[in-house]
Amino acid sequence: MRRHCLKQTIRVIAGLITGLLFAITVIPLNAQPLGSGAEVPAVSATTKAESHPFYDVTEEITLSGPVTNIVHGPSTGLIPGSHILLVTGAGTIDASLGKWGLHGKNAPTIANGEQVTVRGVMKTIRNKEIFFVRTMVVGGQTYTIRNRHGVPVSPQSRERGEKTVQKGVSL
Amino acid sequence: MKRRVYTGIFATVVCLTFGMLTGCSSNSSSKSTPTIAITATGGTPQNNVAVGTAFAAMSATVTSNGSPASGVSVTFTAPSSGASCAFPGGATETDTTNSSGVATSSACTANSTAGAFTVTATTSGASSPANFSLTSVAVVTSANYVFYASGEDTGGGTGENYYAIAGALTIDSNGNVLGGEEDYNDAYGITSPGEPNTPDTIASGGTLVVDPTTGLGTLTITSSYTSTGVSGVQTFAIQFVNANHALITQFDGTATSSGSLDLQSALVDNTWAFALSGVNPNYDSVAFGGVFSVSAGTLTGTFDVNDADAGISTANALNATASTPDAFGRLIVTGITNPGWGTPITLAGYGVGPEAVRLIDVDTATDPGYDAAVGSAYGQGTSTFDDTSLTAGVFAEIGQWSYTFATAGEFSTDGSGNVTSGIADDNEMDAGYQSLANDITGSTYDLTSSGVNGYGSMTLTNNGDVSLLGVYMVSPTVNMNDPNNTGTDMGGALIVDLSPFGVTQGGMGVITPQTDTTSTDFSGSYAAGFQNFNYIENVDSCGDCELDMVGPFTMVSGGALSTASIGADDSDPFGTISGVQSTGDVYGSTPLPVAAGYFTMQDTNGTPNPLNATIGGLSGYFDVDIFQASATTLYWINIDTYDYSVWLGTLQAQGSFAKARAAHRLATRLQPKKKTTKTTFGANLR
Repeated sequence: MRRHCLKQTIRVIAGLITGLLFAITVIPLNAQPLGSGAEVPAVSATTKAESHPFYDVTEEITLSGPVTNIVHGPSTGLIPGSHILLVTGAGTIDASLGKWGLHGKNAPTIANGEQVTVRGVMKTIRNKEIFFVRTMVVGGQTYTIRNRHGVPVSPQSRERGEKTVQKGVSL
Repeated sequence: MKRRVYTGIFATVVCLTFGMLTGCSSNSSSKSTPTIAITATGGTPQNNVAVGTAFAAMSATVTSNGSPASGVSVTFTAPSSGASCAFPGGATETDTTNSSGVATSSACTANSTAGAFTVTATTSGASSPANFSLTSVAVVTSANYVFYASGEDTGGGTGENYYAIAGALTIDSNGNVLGGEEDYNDAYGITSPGEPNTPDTIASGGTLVVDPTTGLGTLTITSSYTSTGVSGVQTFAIQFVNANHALITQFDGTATSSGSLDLQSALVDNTWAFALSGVNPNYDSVAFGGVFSVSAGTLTGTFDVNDADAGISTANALNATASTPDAFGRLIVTGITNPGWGTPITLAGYGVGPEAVRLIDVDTATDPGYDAAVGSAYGQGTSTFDDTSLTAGVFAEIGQWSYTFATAGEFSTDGSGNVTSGIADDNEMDAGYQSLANDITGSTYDLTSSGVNGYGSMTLTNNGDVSLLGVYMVSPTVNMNDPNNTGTDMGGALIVDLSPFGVTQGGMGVITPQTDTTSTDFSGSYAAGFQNFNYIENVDSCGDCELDMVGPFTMVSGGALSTASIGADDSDPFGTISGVQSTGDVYGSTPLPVAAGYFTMQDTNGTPNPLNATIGGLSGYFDVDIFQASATTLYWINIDTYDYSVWLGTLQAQGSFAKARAAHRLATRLQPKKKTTKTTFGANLR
C-alpha cells in the first residue's frame, strides 16, 4: 500500500530533480569492474507472486554532485546503513548505500567534497526522501551497491563478482 | 581401645536407662519409662541415584528423654520388593549408636528397579521409625544428539560471514562427549574439507555441563577441522527445554548462531516438508522450501526458491537421491539442481527422529555453485491436507543475511482459505519499514489448488513487504521446535518467504497451531532464546551484525517475565553491545496482554514496559511483542518503529531435564570483562 501511494510523488520529485539540476550522466553499467556477480538473470519459472518490487529498476535516475557528509554508523532518523549526502541543484539528497556500501573488502572510499555520481531509485521511508543507490561512480571507479532488485551487495559478493570477471564466467 | 572404654562406661548408663528393655536387674521398676525416639538425621532424601549404584550411608539418631542414647541397636530395613536397595548383608542391617546417639548404616546399593522408596530405621521403644526417602533412576546410557545452527562467523578474522553447522554426537550420562561428526559451511573459505562424503570428526573428550536447577549449560566439542571454533574447539551455550531438546548458540567468540540440540532416534517417515535458508553462489540470501516423498532412497517432490539474485521460482521439480545413513544418522542428498543458477546442490542430512531431519548445504569452493544453507525436513505422515488443515496459528519467520528482517503474527481462518482475523508485526529493519499490530484480516491461503499434498501458500495483506509465504504442511503428530515432543504444539507448517522482490529473500520460519490464547496460561518456567541483528555498534562498527541469547526465564501468570537467577548467556563476537560472550545477563518486563494471544513490551505503552536487559554489564532495553501459540510455545519479536535492532525467538515451556545426558552440576560461569567502558546500550534511535 505504501508503495502505491508513493509512486506518483516519487515520479514528480524525480522529474523535478532531473529537469532542474544538472545534466544526467548515464552510467555505463556494462563497464563495471566490480560487483558484476550480482547481475544474474532472473528465473523465468512461474511465480506465485505478483510483480510489485521493493526496488523498481524502471524508475532509476542518475544524480551527481559533491559529497557533503558521510554517515557510517547508526544515526537518529536515518534508515540503517551507510549514507552520503549529495549536494545537487535541487538540494541535498540523502543517498543510502546500505549496510555494506562502505564496509568490507573492496568497498569504495569517499571523502567529503568528492564528486560522486549515483544511479538508483528515490523512495520515501519514514516520511523522508531516501535515494536508494544501486551503482556509484567515485574516483573513476563504478561500484555496485545493490543488485537490480535493490538487494545490498555483500563484500563477499563483490569479491565473488571480481573472481567471476577474472574467470570470464557469467553468472 | 577408646571405643571399648567408652562403650563400657555408657553401657552402665544404658543398662540403667533401658533396664526393662535390656533385662538388666536393677531398681528401674521404681522409675518412669523413658521416652525413646529415633530420627533420620543423615542421608535423606537422596534422589536420582542410578540403579545399581550405592546411596550414601544413612544416619539415625536415638534419644532417650531427649538425650542421645549410645550403644543402642538400630535396624535399617529396605523394602523387600520393588524399587529398593541392599546393604552388604541384605535388606536389613543393624548398627549401634555412638556416643552421640547416632547409628550409621553401610552404603545401600540400589537394585535394578528404578523408583522412589523408603528405608526405615527402628529401635526398641521408639513408637515410630525414622524414614529415609530414596529415589533411584534408570541407568541413563549414552545417546546421540543432533545439533544444527545458523548465524554469522568471523571468518577467521576476515569479517562477518553467514555460516551453517549441523552434526551429531554421542554423549554419556556423565556429560562426556564420546565422539561425533559435523558439517560446517560458511561458503567463504571455511567449509568442511571432506565434503560431501567425509564430515569433520568430533573427538572424544568434550563435555556437556548443565546447571541442575535451570538447565543452562555449556557444550564443548573438538572438531577435526581446526579452522572452526578456536583451533577446532567449539563452545556452545545450551539451554535445555527438556531432557531431549535444548536451544543452542555458538559461544566461543568465533561465531554466533541460533539452533537446537535434540535427542536422536531412527528415521521412519516417507513423506516430508522441508525448508532451508542461506546464501546463494553469489553470497546473497536464498531460501528453499517444498515437499517430497522418499522411496528406496529416491526423493521426488516439488519446491520453491526465493533467491536474491535469481528471483522467485516456484513449483520446481525435485528429483534427488539419498544415501544410506551412517552411524550418526548422516546421509547425503544429491541430484538437486538450483533452478536459478543451474548448479547442483548437495545436502547432508542428520536424522533427528521418526519425523525430523536437519539439512545442511555442503557444496564446496570447487563446486560450480559454492553456497551455504541449513534447515529442516519434517514428516507429513499419511495426512491429506486441505484448507481445513489451517484453522488458527502463529507464524514466525526471520531473514538473516542480505536484508535482515523478522515478522510474526497470529491468525484464525474459516477453514476455507480465508483469514478471518489476525494481527502481525513486521520488522524490516534494513529497509526502514517497521510496523506493529498490523491487521491482516482478509489474508488468504491455499492448500489445495497446487494439486500437491501439503504444498500451498498464504497471501498476507497489510504486513509490509511480507506478502506471500510458501506453506509446506507437516504431520499433526510433529512438534517442529521439539521433534521428540509428542504431546504439545503438534503440526503446523514450514514457511519460506516468496514475497515479490524486495527485502525478504531468505526468510524462513514456521506456522505453529494456536491452541491456547489465555494470557494467564503463559506461566511457569521457560527456555528462551533469540537471534538478533542490530546496528547498535556499541563496541565495534559492525552494522547489522548478530547477537544471540539463550537462557532460563520465569513467567508469573499475569505478571512479570524475567530471567532465572543464573541469568542468560549472550553471544556477541561482533561487538554489537558488549563484544564478549557474557553470562548472568538479566532480562525482565511485565508483558501487557492487548489481544488474545498477543502481548506487548514497548517503551511507548501507556505504562512503558520494554524488555529491560543487562548484557555483559551494559543496561538497555528492547521493544518486544509476544505471540502465544499455546501455554508451551510462544514467539517473541523485537519490533519498534525506530529500532535499529531486530530479533526473533521462542519461549518454550520447560520440563524435566534430569535425564539429559550431561554433567548436572553448577559449572563455573565467569563473566568476561566487557570490551567497553560504556554502561548502557541503545537499540532505539527515535
